Amino acid sequence: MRTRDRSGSRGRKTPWRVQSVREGQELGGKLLGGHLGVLKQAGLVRDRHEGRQTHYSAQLGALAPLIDWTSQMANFWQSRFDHLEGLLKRMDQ
Amino acid sequence: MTNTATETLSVVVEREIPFPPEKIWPALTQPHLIEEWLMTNDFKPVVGHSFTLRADWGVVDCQVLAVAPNKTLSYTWGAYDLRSVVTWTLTPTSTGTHLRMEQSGFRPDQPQYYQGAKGGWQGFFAALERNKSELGGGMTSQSWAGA
Repeated sequence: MRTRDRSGSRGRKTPWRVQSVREGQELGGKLLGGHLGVLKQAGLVRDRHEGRQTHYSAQLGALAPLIDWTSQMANFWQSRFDHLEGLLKRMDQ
Repeated sequence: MTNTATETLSVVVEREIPFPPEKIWPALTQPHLIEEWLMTNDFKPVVGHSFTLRADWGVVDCQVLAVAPNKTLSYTWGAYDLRSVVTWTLTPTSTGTHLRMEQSGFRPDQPQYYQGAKGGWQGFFAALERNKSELGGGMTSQSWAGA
């Protein structure tokens, strides 16, 4: 788990496996595990244990106010485009 | 300090459609066809015409702003406290049409100022969540490992 890899970049390039959180905690310091625990208590994320891995998923309902309206509408319009294409195909037969 | 409370945000969805603009235009402007892919409505392709889009999760108040057959169509889109404009642009291509939808607008209390769920948005999202199947899984919880 890299909050700061050797190159010093804090950017998150690849999704981190949470099971490495324990390594983070063994390194000491309030690292990823702590933050997720706080988010969980706030009901903003939900965790699911799978063997040694813990997967966290965003509770969109709770996080909604944090997500601006455009991300919700993007989903909405993508689905409308699918329905529109379906209609056009039906009209074309 | 710029007043970002009214800063306009926008969402753009574009797609290559394998049909010419003339085939798409009716689906964007004839009420019984709009209902098939969008929502129940009393739309008319007449500038200034006010209409509503209705679904079980809510009603959207709209007014036609611009109509250029087979080219562009735009109308206001007011739902809860969102004030926005939806603009459709049809560009002919060799294989059909490049269809572009842009919705730009703002909410008086932009969510980047976290003040908790306010007004109807929470209901709107909850309704979307309930209707995920109907909306084609529009609102799925993104899962990621690690923050």
